[in-house]
Amino acid sequence: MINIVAKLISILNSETEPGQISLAFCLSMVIGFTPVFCPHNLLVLLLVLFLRANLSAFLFGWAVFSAIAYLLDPLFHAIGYKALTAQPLHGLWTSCYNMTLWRLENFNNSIVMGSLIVSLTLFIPLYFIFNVLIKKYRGQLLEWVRKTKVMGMLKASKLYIAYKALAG
Amino acid sequence: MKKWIRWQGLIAFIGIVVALSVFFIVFADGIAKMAIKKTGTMVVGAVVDLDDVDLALFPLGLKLKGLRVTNPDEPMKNAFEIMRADLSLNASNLLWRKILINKMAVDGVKFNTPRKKSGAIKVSKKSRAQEKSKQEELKKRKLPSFDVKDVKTILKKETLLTIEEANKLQNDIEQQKKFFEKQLKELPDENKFEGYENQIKKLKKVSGFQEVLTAAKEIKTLKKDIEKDINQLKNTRTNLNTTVNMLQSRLKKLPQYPMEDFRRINSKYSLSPQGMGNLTHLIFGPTYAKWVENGLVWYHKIAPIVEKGRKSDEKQEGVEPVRGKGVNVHFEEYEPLPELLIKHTSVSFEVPAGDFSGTIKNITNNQRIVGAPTTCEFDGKKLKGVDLVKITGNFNHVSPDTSKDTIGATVRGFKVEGLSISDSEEFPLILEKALANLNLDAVIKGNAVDSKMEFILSSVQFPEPKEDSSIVIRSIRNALSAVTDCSITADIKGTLDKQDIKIESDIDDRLKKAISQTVMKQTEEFKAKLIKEINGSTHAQVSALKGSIAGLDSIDQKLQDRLQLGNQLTRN
Repeated sequence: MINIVAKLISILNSETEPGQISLAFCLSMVIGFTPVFCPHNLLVLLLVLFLRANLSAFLFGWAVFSAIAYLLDPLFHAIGYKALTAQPLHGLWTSCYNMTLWRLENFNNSIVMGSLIVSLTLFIPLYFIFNVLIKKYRGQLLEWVRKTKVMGMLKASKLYIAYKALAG
Repeated sequence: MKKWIRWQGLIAFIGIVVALSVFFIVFADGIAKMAIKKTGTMVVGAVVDLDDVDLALFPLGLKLKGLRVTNPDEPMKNAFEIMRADLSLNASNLLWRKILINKMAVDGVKFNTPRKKSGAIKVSKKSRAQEKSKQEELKKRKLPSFDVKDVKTILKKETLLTIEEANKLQNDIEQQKKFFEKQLKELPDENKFEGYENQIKKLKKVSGFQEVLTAAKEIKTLKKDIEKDINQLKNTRTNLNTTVNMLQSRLKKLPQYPMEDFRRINSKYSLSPQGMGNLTHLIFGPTYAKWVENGLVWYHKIAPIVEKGRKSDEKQEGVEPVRGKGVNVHFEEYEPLPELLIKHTSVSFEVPAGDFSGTIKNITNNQRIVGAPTTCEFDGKKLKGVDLVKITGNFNHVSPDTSKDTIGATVRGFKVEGLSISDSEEFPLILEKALANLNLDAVIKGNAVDSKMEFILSSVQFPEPKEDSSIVIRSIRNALSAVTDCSITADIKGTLDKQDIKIESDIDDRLKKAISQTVMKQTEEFKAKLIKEINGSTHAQVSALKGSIAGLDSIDQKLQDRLQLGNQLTRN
């Protein structure tokens, strides 16, 4: 646990572009929320590796979003089921159902569909929110955090040693 | 732009994809083996073992070796075992999660083979309770006793109505006794009446006009009090008499109970030639019922898979999903295909009599889409100890709501040796030798079952009766040992959940005739012993009750004495 928190602090305090960290978090949300063996996750993996998203942030986010996904499972089912049984979309789903790619994607499963809808809907807003949060943290919070007594105690603790080791 | 692109990431991605593909190719056999075992175990409800799987990718095919399916009811036995199964799969349809197999060959099928390890899986409390009730149901179908039980043993097990009623009566008498004794203590007694007498005497002695007038008034008041006390005593006595009468009438009824006890116990334990009219059903019934039950257990396991095309299955409103699995919503397919279709399966069985083979056509989970029923045909001609075996089946669920399954079997010249007909502890029966012909016609239409099975036995040999058997069993065995040929028909009618089995045979009359005299004699003896024992057990208790009721008379006597005292006072 200490290592994970240290890793997060290390990522946030590094020189990495906020956009790269935000993108990694958003992509990790897609892979974390949706069932891992869905073909679209190959695309996510390709984007993570190709688009210079921060890999540490991606792995950290994947772990966090997978845990959240377990809690949101009933919500994903409800949203997915509603979407799949919505009459206006019936024609679209029927066409997809008759295409090999979509059948492989298992789109007709309520959880696959629900988690995909949620993660894609949140993708862009979360990207900007994470960006703003990281910039705010670095601009205002980082200096203040460094000066606090708690940080002083932390510097002497195992957590800081772990952070230092990771930060190199 | 350059800041956002990581070209080496593309190489890493290709590396990961290649590694995953290699992993799948290397471990494909293991993955397939695990999937088959897991799915099989889930469907059967007992362990499914598989020795080896060979998955070929080009062209896509699967070879299974040593598939063993545990019998859920007997975990130390395999329901069946398949030595080899070879099938080729349609790869493009697999991407659509459809298993389409044109030809499958299944060799070396064996039934009821022993297992080294138990194949039982952990069952839920609910299914354990269901299993228990099933076992109890089977126990109920056990053969009735052919022996006349020891009367004393029966009476130890049975609760006699006579004793029960006598105990109740005794209890009521004790309670009433306590009640009236308590009342007696509260009611005016000799001392109170003596007090009245003394007061009256004192008042009578006064002189002077005014005093006499006051005394007369007080005497009048005293008289009223005495009359009130007398009334109280009278009421209590009336209540006591009513209670005693009621208890006595119950006591009078008590001698009727031994007869009721006798009738009940007699009908439960004694033998009657009428009750044994259909001996064939009693002897063959439980074994046949077990066969039917086993058959239906497997039918119930397979039916839900075959019936998947039912229209009601398509409605998925309100489906509660398994956590993390969700629900699959199905849409119309432009070119519909079932999830599973094995067009042609050739099967060869290994039975003790030799090899037995046949074909199964259109094994599918959705006959509505295939548009054809699942059919099977098996025959064995060069078998040891049997001239001909032919089994046909047609499982038509093309229109699932009006499904019809038919099974037919013909066996000719089957040399029976040492066939256990009844494994009842009291009447184990083995058919030592016989030559059997069998015809079976079974139809399951929707939920209704209608089946007729006919056994024609010739050159029959039953074992000689043993000396240690009871006289009734010896009579049945004697009669059976004289049988050389017979025919037995078994009819099943009802639903898949509840069936009536009717078994008849031309040996019924012969058996009935053979045992009726013996049974009559045994029954008479049993009756006499039973009446004697019941009367013996209840006589002492009835006498004790009479004594207890007499105890209430002493209370009545005391009440009478007090009343007399009161009456004397009012008279004077």
